[in-house]
Amino acid sequence: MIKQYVLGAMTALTVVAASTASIAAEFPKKDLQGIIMWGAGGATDTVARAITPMVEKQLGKDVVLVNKSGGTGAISTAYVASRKSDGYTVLYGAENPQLHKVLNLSKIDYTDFYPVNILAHGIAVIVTNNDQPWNSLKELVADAQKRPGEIKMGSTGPGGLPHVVGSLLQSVTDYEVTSVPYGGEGPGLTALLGGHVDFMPAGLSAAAEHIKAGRLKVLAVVNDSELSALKGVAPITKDFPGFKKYLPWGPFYGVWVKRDTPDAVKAKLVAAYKEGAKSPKFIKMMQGRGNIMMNISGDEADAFLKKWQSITAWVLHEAGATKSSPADFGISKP
Amino acid sequence: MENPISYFFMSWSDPYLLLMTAAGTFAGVYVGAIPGLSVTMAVSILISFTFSWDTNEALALMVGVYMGGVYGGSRTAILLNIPCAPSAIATAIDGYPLAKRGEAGTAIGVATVMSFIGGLVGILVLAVAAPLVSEFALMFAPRDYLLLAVIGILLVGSLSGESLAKGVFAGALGVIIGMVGLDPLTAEGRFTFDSITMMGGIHYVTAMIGFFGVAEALAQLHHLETPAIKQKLERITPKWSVVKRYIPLSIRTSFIGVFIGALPGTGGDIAALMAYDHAKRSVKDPSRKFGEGAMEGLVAPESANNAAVGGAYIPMLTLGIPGDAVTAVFIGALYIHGLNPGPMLMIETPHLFWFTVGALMLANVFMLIFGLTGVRLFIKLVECPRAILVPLILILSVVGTYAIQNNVVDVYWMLGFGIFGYFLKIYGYQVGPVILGVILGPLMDVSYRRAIISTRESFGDFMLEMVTNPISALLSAALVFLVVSQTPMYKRWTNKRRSV
Amino acid sequence: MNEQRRLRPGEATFGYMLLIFSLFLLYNAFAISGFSSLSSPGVFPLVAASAMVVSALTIILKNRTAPQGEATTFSHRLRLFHSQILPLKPMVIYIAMVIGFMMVLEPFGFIPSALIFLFVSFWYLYAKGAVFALVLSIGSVAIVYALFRLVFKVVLPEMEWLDLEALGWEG
Repeated sequence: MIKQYVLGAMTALTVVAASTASIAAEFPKKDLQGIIMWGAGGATDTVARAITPMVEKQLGKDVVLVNKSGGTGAISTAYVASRKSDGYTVLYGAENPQLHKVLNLSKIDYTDFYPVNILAHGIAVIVTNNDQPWNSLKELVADAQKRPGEIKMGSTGPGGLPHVVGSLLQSVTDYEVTSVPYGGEGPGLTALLGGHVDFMPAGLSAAAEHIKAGRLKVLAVVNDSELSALKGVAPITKDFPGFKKYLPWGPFYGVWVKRDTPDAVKAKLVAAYKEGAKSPKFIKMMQGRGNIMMNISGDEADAFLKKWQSITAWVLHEAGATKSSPADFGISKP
Repeated sequence: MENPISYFFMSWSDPYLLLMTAAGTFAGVYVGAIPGLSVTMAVSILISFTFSWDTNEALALMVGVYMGGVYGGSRTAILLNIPCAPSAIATAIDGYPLAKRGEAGTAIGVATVMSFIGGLVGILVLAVAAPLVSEFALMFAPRDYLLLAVIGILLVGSLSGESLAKGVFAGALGVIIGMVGLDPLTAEGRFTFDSITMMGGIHYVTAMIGFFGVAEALAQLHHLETPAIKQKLERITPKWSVVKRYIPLSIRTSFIGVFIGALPGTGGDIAALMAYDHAKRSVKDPSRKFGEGAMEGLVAPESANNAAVGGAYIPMLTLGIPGDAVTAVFIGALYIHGLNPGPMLMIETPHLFWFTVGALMLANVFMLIFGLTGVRLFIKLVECPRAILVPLILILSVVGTYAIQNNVVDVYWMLGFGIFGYFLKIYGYQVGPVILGVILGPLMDVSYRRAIISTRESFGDFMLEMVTNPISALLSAALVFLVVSQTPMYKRWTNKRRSV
Repeated sequence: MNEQRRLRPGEATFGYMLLIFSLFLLYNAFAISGFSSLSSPGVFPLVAASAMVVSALTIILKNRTAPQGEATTFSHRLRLFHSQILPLKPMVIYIAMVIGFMMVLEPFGFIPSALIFLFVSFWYLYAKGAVFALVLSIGSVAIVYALFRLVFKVVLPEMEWLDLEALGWEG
């Protein structure tokens, strides 16, 4: 009787041990769930839906994609953080969570997740309507200094790209504009086309087609050198050399799992996404949208995330746009 | 293959593309008719699904789903009072009373034909005047969106039922529900009580399924013993004479639909509500009183929401700006297929434009066919005993709500709204204004604030712009007229004039 | 409109409850940002909540002048409320069942909880016997699951308490 019991217990133990050891070897045994932190049709959504079929080929299982938007991504990070750390729930996200702490939106940011892959980052440009007289960022800033508050800047709310680029520039040179918030870069640019705002810092990917069609003109590229895609457009550092210390800066897209996921599972996911992101079709699509491929993971990605957070959070804090000091969360000053 | 006509007929002549469009439309009709399955969702799923396909095949399938899905919502709106797609909300107001009278068959028939006419008008405007309309749509400033939303919210007056105070209460409650969550402009929490789950806000489909579907299902529990209403099924396809009578209204509301659809900030849901409002004001002698099963109340929103499909494509194909949530997903799909939707799309790939127009037209035809067939089976489902129907509605409502954003909290909200909605209904409050508030409240909120920020917080400048800008002045005048025309004084005056 | 219907049992009380609810919302709307500026996030919630308070007051006033319900004593009114508005059977019991279903949805997973809910519902409401209810509920759950989970890839709550795969069951 006892013998049987012990035997049974031992078998059970071996099963448990074997199953832990074989987690990695067998991963993935079932379909994964991919949580997209922005809604259908947005930039993050498009990136997620483009990379996923490539990765599914590598993993041999489906990644079922689910949009969980809301709270500029806080709903998604909270959800993924609440799931098991087994690698079956991956987070497709953008840069937003890195500001959630200082904006008091959430206690969770990318330090709680492991970067499986930071796929690409975008480049910001400052665009204006063809009807506006300015031909360079310098002229715009000079005009804004002459009539403070009269020029309208399209933005996407606190922590959004236009807001951050505007604040970065303000920390370099002093000027005052009225910021009119829109629901996203798309609606903001639409308002710019209709002349309801006067200029807007935006991701190149969102503005590229309008620039190509000659409906919007670019005043500056938020980069330290000219872009091959935008020949003849001055980098922001030409007029404002002080901006260089913030560069490179831009929105980014990536894939995360919970930090305490088993290493072997992480390695499998990293390999799958690394391979998927090399697909020519994916690269073509990303570059076509004005993004710069990164395809980095692990420590390299963590360093990138940390630098991004430190620059952005502190500049916003100094511009008075945060609710808590970055120092409260141990975010070091750049 | 250089001319537009050959691209237009590409989906008609290629048997495979024809099949794809048909399959898409068929799926769309049923996706639209199941609570919680939205067209946006279906098209998003199709993006990954059709990733490796040829662009045209993928587009044909997705166009079909879109066209069919917008129409499909009308079925459950009529039969069960559950508008499964937001654009079907106005359809339920008069459609459900028709089903209660046993005229669901006729109602679905008329709704289908009117959707077809609406779709047709939408596509024609898209084909003929797309660049013009999209340039005009760009001129709409935040204050103009505010004016449009205010014109829409006036509908509370006509949806109030027995008492205006009750209608206003319900409408304002809807506005509050729409405000819950992070403010889109400042990321400030509103009614969130510092809870992460509240930050995401309440999706309007959650409110819709709760206030309509669940509240109705609970009310049905009072009538478990009463046998289901026998629906007359002799004739689904409406007589030509019937169709003819409603054509003028259908065309008028279709134009409302195309334009509201083409505005980048508004879609089929608002179009349908505005069209319903228009019908209620312009039709002097409806077939029955509005709200009690007026055919006109069905014709207007159904024409408008399908016309809005063509409308939503106008800014998308000409400028790369989505006209609604579904076309936003389409833009993503085009990117993934290596195209660059934007102002250059029509210059670089003109065939895409004509191909889409052709596929839309084809999908519209299939929608008519699938809409008029298979209705009997669908209606039979509704005729099954209430004791079976009620649990099934509840299960679908739960799964449907969960499916919106995979969040069980939404399900709790939905049930809460359902129980609350049950009491509202019993005590003579209409739930229509709640949904009106949920849909239009956020639009009013952000548009008003954007407009006032643009004038640097000067209320005087804000009011001045309302009358000096041509578009705003026109909309303001329309608003004033609509308000004045409801006053007893004006009514007395027109009556006197008519009698003279 | 002139012929006003009699108040339904509980209607007057409901009006007061709506007023309290509106005042609660108004308080919360004010807490968002007060009257700090014309464009602050609190403006619309304040306007809407005020509209709710005003209309709730109007409704209460109207209820006072409207033809009252037939019941005069409190206990009679309560009895009428129970028989007409919220009867224990099936209303209260059924609502409790729905709430129960939602509570177990996440921990139990969709399939078992929906199966039990539907089975009990049909059995309770339709009274055509357990076998009929069982067949109908299995059929419905199968259709819903196939449609949402398999075709539309909606991830329904899964039964995490019973990790089938850990027990060697391959799906």
